[in-house]
Amino acid sequence: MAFTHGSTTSGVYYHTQDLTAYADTWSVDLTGNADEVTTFASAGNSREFIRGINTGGGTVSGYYDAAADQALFDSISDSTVDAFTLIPDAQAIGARTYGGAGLDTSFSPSGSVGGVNAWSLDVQGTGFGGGVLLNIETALTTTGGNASVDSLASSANGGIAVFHFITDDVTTMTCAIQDSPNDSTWANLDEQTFTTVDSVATIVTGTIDQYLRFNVTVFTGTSAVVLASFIRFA
Amino acid sequence: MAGKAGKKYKIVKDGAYWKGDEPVEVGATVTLTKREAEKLLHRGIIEET
Repeated sequence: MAFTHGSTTSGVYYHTQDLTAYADTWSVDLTGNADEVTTFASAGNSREFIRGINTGGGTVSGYYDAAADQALFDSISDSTVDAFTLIPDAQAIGARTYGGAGLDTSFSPSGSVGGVNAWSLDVQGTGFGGGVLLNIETALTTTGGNASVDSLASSANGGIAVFHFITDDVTTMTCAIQDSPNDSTWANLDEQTFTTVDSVATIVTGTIDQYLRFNVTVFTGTSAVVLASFIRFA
Repeated sequence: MAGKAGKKYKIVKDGAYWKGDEPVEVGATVTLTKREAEKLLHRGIIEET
């Protein structure tokens, strides 16, 4: 067993915002729907169900800050699907994440005379689940691939490639999430080119091989911070 | 189209297939297992030669 404390949470990201320094609470809700298929022929006086479409989302809350407030306020009024990532443990390549693509459905700043001003953000996932971190929040300055993550087995049902491009001190940066059957030859699962801050969560289909990595293929500029993760669909 | 075991395929997508830290150039041929070929055909990275 390796239980972890809430204080070890090392990352809370929505779109281009690193909310880690403003947040103190998070939760994720993943629901596996069961849809009823009971008929007159159902045996044993029991209702029958089959697996339906899964849903997911998350909630983050914390302390009010004008800069974070403006960005979140702007986001609630747009129709863009943005990336969302939570990292419950220390940031490291291969660390567990939750997140995916999401729409913010509620942003609630609040305050009272007796306490610190606060905020809360609800995100409805449009492709959501548990994944692995492939690039941590650290400054990148050149091209190159990260250490790989061994998922121990391939999977057949696709997944979500998640990028948060947090700083924009680059002219152009192209980076990819790649998979490999042998930790030697690599194929792009999803490749993105960034010229300004942005986030992308792309659903990919088909086979996902056992090994995953993050690879920067084009870099012109000074430095960039990109958080990248991949979520396999079971 | 399903891949075939031991067959050679041509890379058609720039920067999408790598051997270690080196990209394989468009037009290069690679020999792939059936399973790997099916995956890369699905992603549009290769085509049959």
